[in-house]
Amino acid sequence: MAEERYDQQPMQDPAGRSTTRAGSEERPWPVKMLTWLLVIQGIGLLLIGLFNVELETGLQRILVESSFFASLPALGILALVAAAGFFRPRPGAWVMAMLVQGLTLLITVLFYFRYRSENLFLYAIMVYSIIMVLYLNYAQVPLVFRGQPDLVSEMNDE
Amino acid sequence: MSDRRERRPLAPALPVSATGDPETSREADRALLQRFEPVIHYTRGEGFFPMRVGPYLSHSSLWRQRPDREPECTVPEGELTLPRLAEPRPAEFGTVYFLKFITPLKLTELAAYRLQQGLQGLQRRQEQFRAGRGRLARVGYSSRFVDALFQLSLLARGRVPGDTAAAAALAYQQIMAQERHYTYYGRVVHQNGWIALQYWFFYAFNNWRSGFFGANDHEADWEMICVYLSQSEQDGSVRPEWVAYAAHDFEGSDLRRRWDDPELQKVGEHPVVYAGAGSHASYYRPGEYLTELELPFLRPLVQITDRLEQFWRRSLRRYQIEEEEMPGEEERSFNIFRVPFVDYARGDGIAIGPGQAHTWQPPRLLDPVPGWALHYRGLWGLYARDPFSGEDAPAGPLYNRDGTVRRAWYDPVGWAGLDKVPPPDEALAYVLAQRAEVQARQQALKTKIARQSQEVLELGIEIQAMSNLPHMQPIYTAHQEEMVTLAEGVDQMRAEYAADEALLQALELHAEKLRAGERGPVRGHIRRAHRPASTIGLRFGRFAEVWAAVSISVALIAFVVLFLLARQGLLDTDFLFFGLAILISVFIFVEASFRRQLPRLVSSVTIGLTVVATLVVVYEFFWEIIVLGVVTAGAYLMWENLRELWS
Repeated sequence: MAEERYDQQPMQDPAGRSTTRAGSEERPWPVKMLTWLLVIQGIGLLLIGLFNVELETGLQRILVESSFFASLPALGILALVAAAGFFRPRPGAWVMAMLVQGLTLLITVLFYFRYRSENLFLYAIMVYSIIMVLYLNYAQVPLVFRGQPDLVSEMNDE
Repeated sequence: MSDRRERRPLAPALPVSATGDPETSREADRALLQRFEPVIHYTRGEGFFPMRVGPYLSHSSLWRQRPDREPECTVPEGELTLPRLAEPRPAEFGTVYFLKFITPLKLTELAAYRLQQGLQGLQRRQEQFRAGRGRLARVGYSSRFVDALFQLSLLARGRVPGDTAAAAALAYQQIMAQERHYTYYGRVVHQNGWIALQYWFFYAFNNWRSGFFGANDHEADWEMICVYLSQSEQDGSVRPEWVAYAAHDFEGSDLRRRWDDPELQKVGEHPVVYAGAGSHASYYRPGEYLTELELPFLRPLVQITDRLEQFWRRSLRRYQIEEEEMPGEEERSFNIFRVPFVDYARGDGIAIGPGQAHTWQPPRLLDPVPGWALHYRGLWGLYARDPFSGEDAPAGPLYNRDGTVRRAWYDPVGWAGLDKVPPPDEALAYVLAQRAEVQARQQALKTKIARQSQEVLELGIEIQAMSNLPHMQPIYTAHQEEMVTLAEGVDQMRAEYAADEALLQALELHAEKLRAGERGPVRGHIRRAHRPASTIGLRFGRFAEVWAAVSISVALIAFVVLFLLARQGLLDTDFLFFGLAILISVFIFVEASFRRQLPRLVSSVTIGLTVVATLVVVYEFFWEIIVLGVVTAGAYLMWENLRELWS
């Protein structure tokens, strides 16, 4: 895999001085969108995890009883770390984002089969992760993280 | 790229089969076969090489296996000759005739042979085969599990006995000691404007399983390669255009390489073949080829996984992590329900052919077809009664195991997918003829369109005239129906005309390219070519290989321990499932780490969980999803319509 990342390719300013592209300016729009979706997911998971004790919901009961309450904030932090990797695309960011979705889905699916919860939070988290997985695998998004800079302009043109 | 191939006359004043004299024609065929005969490189440790069938028969006996009976010897060893093999043998349905090359060794003979091999191995270590990177380390757990089932199945199904390979090697050494020879059988076939030179190689034994950790052993082995020539109409000179190498019963365009393909190595005009160790399958490049064996009872699972993969990659256009992609060629992805085997075609052993240490004897012609090839439809070695057929000997060059004629024999051009390709000198003529045909079709269409358009017009006028005349209503309605039908016909013909127009342009472009001497991409016909394992794919550590070899056994033992603990009440059900999940996760994680495939693992598992979660959501909210979908569609339509209204 090529180690060179497109956001670090040298370019010259009008005065001929070498500079570095700002990653956020060059990111294709699906990557930008995914960045914000990951941020929202991270904050959401953090909030649900941290404030679950105060929520008078079935989900809270499940979380406490099954000792999984700690997992959601942890996943929230992971999602935020992955989002940081999306701001300046890093090869590992895409894998981490997929890992967050995988773990989230694993936990929600386990909840579902263990408790058959009717709490809508569970399904909302599930649906959000499904959409994220589809979007993370959208066309050439993963290739951006494999250091193929030509794709950036192609995706922006689409 | 300049084409340096030169047309050389086939033989002085002897164009291919131009003469009526059969002997002269045979000499011409022999000369042609020798001109393009291959150079075969074998892998170190290979024990069997192409030989004549006569000496093999003199060491064999002929047997008959009738349904529900014990096998009977019909011609004992020492009495079997080529004419005797060709004798007609009427038999009841279900009867199988087969040869038996080997009589089992006595224990002392086997021990002496093993000792001799061991001593030779010590003296000539350089010539010994080393398996190198294990095949199991190259594939995943599922394939290893299927492989374990396959290995266990060998205990239950028919197979070639364990000491047969040793006995075959001894018998072959005896034959070679009497007269060392390397021979092939040749055939020159004229088909579709091509001259196909078929080179058939007969081996006394296939010891792929016992000698090289492969899928099967069987007595006798027939292999073939084909060189395709075009012939000049002016002087009868010939030029090589394509070659096709047979490998493991595959057929089609993927087997074929153009003469100017860089993958095809040549020594002068002689194509180079790399033969698989023990299997004798033919390859273009030296290397280690991962070959899949599909078990009949797992075929439905193979098809399902292949379709799921295609659906993910093509229909959903989802991304998949690939190690090495070739433009235009599909990745030969490994199906987890096929058994993996490595075909070692390293080419580091002896070589046979022009310019090598060992050369071919003059070819033996299969034209006219000798009686032993034409009349004997039985197997050329032991009939092991293996339901997968892998351990049964093959039939002769003409026939499949079931007695039907091989496609490679009756249709050598179609066998390699060359029936779609005209010889280069005739290609332009074909294109021009096709263009003339399309033009004629267009002319006919034009006339028909003009006539039918006129009818539509006339009907339209009549319909216009009849409107507002109530007494004409039946005729009016009939005319209208007729007009609609005719108008549809005209539309269809115009579409055909337009399509032909595009086709004509394409043909014209193609003709221009042919006039300019262009032949198109050299590998454009290849979809899924065999490629040796890349050095990236072979980069496993020793520990990874040991893990691959023991992992399935360790997993089975661990599962049994868990279940025993649960059975004795030391684990409750929850912990049993938790333990199983942990065990499976650890195994998968270890494996993925060894193979540097953690990203792929994360991706695959997440996608699997996504499918499960989607099913859960659909199951729980089926009607809500339907309602939401309808409401969304309604809102979208309303928005679109209102936007149009306000714009």
